[in-house]
Amino acid sequence: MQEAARNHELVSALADGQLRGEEFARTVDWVNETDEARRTWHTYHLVGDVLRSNEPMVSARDVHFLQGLKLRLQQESAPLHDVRTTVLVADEQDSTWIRRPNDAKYSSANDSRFGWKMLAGFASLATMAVMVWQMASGGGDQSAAPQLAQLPVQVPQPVAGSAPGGTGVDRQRMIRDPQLDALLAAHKQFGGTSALQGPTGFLRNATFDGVAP
Amino acid sequence: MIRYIAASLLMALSASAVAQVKSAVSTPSVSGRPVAQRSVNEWLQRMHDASRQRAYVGTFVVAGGGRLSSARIWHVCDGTQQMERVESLTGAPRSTFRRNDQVLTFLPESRVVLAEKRESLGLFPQLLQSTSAAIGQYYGARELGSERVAGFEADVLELRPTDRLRFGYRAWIEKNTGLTVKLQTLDSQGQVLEQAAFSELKFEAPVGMAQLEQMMGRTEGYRLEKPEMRKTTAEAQGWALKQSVPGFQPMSCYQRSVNGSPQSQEAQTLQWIFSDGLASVSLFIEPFVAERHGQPKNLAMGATHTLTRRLGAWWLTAVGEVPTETLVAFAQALERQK
Repeated sequence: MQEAARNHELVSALADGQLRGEEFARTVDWVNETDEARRTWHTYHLVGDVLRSNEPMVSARDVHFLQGLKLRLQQESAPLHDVRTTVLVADEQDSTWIRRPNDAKYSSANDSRFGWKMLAGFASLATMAVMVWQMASGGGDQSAAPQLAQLPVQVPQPVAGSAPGGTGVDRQRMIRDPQLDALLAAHKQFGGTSALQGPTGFLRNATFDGVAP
Repeated sequence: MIRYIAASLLMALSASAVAQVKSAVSTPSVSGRPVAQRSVNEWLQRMHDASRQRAYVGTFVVAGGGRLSSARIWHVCDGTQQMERVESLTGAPRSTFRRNDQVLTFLPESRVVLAEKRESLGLFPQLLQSTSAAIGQYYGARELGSERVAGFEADVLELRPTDRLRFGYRAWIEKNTGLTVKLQTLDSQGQVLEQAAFSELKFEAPVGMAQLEQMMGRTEGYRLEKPEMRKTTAEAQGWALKQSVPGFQPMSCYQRSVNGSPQSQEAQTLQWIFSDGLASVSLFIEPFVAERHGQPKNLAMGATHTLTRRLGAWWLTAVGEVPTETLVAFAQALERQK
């Protein structure tokens, strides 16, 4: 397990251009000689592609995954209605955490191209996370990896079409509208208005590049 | 770089795995000695003190909204002063320096440096005093045992909302220092909306405060931009909430410039800030301009939700780390009094 992890580490360093001399030569040999190393090499490059671009080069496996994901999102949803505060307060202390209320389902099926690209990016990342995990677990505890890999991949709230007057959710404009970005940055300036997020919130806001500062 | 990312992907996966099951099942494994019971306020104070008393260097990863962002962090302090350097590893290159509440963000591509005063960072003790009742009333705290994060043993604290107007949190607090090493924001089902965590962390790293100050001062060749802000009150500007949104108290109100707005609009944007102690909401109100504002929308990225609405001659943009329902409640309560 440790040796496998070390090998993946070396491939990662190779992908980052950080290896020199004998270590470089040995790792290049290993990548050339074994399928597993080539898969790792490919995965690290895909990870890099996804992080550098909103249009990652997805493999056939990713495309299949995406189709399943889209279908699942489409099946999930119904638009939200306007909110009455009184209904939202106080009476479901234990159940709110566990049970999604009937009147609060996020809708899905955002067909907007960019929104799906965002999801595509995440789905690829998630798929690769599974792949990386499987590879990292390859030489070790065989029982753990399949169990994790079989879990459906978590996707943050599904994307929804816009709904004037309702509470459907549409992600794409978050990064497309410079005025909105500016307001988000202005909100971030006060991200410390939270006892919990004081120090962590500053780091979170400074790190998060979903919105230009 | 890719190594950090691979590590963070694994973190994202574990967050996914955790989020697949309901909260009772997703409780992190309890190991080690039981932690002494602390009140929510004691926990929050401990988390806050850590950043004033400990120096550290690490890699910080934020996952949410289909995005993964990462930065290298340097943090130094001498008990009274805090300095921080945040160097982005993803997205557009930028370096953020903070000295207490003074923040400079260097954007090398545009050769611009943004200067801001983050008053909220200095608010902490007062914030805790003014909102502690709300925190106690609207969040239930539970200690979930301990777990390792970035190689450090951490106490796990869950803050569960008592209604649907706010998100929940799970915080991993390093046992010796009290530093928050991981923080998840959770939706009403207990699913992870956003996660911020150190993927690698070293305490007492040899970084001098003087060194960071020197770097922060190197602004030659950069154009300095500073948002104009003037403290005001919502009442003075003719705005009020006809009914309060439970748990949220008004914290401050500014007439401010917003980058990206046309010159004529800049001075006219009002930012009214609310907090329940853990979550914050900004209401931005500006004159409605048909060609700029278009249709009302509800948007989300990670834990940050946004709502836009037209209110007669005005345009409201509500932003906060809260459910959309909460923003709708604010929009429905907001009224013009002039």
